[in-house]
Amino acid sequence: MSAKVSLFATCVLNNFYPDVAFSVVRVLSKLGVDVTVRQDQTCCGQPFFNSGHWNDSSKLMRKFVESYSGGKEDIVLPSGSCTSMVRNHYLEVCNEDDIGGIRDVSGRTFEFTEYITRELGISDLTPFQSTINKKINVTYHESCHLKRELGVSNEPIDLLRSLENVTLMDMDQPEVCCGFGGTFATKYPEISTAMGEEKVANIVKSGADIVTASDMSCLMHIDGLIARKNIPLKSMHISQVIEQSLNMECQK
Amino acid sequence: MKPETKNFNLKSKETLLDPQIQENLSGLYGGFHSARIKASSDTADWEELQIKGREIKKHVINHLDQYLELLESNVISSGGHVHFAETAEDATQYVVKLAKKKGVKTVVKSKSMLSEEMSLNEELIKHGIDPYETDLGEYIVQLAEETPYHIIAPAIHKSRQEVSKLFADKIGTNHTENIETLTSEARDQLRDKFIQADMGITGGNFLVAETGTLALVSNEGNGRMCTSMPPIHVAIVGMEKIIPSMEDLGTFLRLLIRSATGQWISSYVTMISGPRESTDIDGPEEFHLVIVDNGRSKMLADPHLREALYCLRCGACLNACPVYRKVGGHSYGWVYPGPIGAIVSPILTGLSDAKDLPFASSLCGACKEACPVKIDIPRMLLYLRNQLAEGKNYPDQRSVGFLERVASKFMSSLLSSNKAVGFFLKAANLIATIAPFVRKPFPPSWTKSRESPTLAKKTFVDQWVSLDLDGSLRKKH
Repeated sequence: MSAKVSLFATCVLNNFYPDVAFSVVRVLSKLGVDVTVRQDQTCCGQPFFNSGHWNDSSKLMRKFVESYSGGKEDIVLPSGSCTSMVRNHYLEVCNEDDIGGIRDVSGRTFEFTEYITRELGISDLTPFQSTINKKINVTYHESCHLKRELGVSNEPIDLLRSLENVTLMDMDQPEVCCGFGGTFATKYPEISTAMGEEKVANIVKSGADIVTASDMSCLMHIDGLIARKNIPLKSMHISQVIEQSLNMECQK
Repeated sequence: MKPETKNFNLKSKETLLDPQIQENLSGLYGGFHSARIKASSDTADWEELQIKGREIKKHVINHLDQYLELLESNVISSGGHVHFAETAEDATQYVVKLAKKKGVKTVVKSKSMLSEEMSLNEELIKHGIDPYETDLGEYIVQLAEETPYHIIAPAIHKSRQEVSKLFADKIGTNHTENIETLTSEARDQLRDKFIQADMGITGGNFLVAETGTLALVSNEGNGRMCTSMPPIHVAIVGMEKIIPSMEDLGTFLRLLIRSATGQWISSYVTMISGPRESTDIDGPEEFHLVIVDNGRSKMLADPHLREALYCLRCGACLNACPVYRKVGGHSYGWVYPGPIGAIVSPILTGLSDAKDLPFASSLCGACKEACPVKIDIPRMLLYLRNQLAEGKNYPDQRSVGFLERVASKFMSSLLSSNKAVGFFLKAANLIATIAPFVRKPFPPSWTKSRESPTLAKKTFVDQWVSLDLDGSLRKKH
């Protein structure tokens, strides 16, 4: 019986990067997962939670919980940050009535690379790589919430290393925040930009052509900086790197 | 110290533009931060030590009254005096009054952040008493007439060139950038002060309740000089620094020193239990312990913030924080900077004025990861943000603007309906045919330095629905 997953694309992917969400679907499908998508999805509520507006956040928490509760399928989010919102912070913005639903849903909620490595038990993608695609030099930025709030750190790196066409280039201070931080990026644009510029300098120094990460919001920030400065770097979500390496786009 | 927490925005922007300070701050990652990581990972039982330390702190803070009483009786029985000060002013008054009564002219001080809360040096000077900071970093900061930049490295923002110029201007040394020569110059200056001093004032890293012992950690030996040479020793210590036993001190010295500098043990650990006894060959004739609250009981009273009192003041969260490493210490506008300062300062000096501090974090969690007693700093920052926006526990301190609250309500309602999101996106794309910038919706605060991402023509969900209907998704894989 194949694994069943309902994909919650997150508001960032739904509105800005639908192609990335499709990459996630295609990679999961390639790994034998049956993917469905609920039409009533929008946002997990994290931006409101992080800005202190917990009442507003709880509306979206309830929407998420109602939407998925009672189901059997796992819920996959291509973002460590949103996954942590569901798993760690929903309990902070809820009433007692919400707790049962939150526990049901959050026990089945996983970040994309966490799901592949821990739930599917796949850390080596070689068996899925039929022909070796063009070699690419990739460097990996560790998204803060994936690493520190979910404890997922080596898993995505293992996945990338297992891809034969991918050369993983070492980045200095890979675990240091890129400076996005949600509304922090616009409340303190100068600090956020200074942090981002340091991150970009470390990416450039790695010698990679492509920077990848598990969270599109980090990459949105990094990409905004490299686009402004015309730095010859490409940012790709980890699902896109995997999809490209599994030589899937030719089947489009 | 007068709080200037309101100026965070201004001060942080200034600091970002100072290349010298930026260089010094960026050195913290490879310096203290990396040294801490190495020391803790070389310690076999680090995680257990952290949990043990946290449990002890939790216990002692939950039974603070009992331990303070025990400490008091032990200090008194070993011949010391104990004063409980509710406010910083109260503590200052006690010290000034004592100094005047004893005819004190010169005070030598070892490092104490609490004395910054009290503006102790200013007050002593007002009363004709000369205080001399004897920690090298504090000495530099005092000469420059500034305040400490970092909890354990007060002059981290100064380059050796600046220190050289400062020494030449203030104490007339020859211009030299040789650190050894500069240090030796400070040592010569301070040696006289130690001999002259009528009073030594120190802080305290720990107070051991069962023995009435004050423990001081230092690397320069100045703490020991301040506590043994002058005839009077006054220790000013925050009430949260208390620990139950000598055995616990072993746990906390390991946690504190490794987290602060990455050393396994500091050059000096000084333990003082009361004044000189008749058989002692040196030590002060009088020992006064001033235990200070100054707003700490507000943290004790709020279960969401209580764990801020577990803090050992090691500075590890500052070194780990990518925001501190950009904005530095003075931006935070009060005694304690960095992640822990963004919690302590608002509570001790007023949340409303300090409203920028809890928001000045990307919530990356590096502080929590670095903390030797696992203080959940991000959770408390989030709590304070919530109090500023919705203020149930601190209603008079609510200060998130009306506009932001309305915007948050509007956006969260919009996002509660995927139909509304789809509609808005369609509308935006329609408008974008004549005004393309609409598809780059991020505000100027983003686009000043970064390109805005582009709104999709159709949401992922809408694309999925149309694919799913004609079955073409299945062809894709």
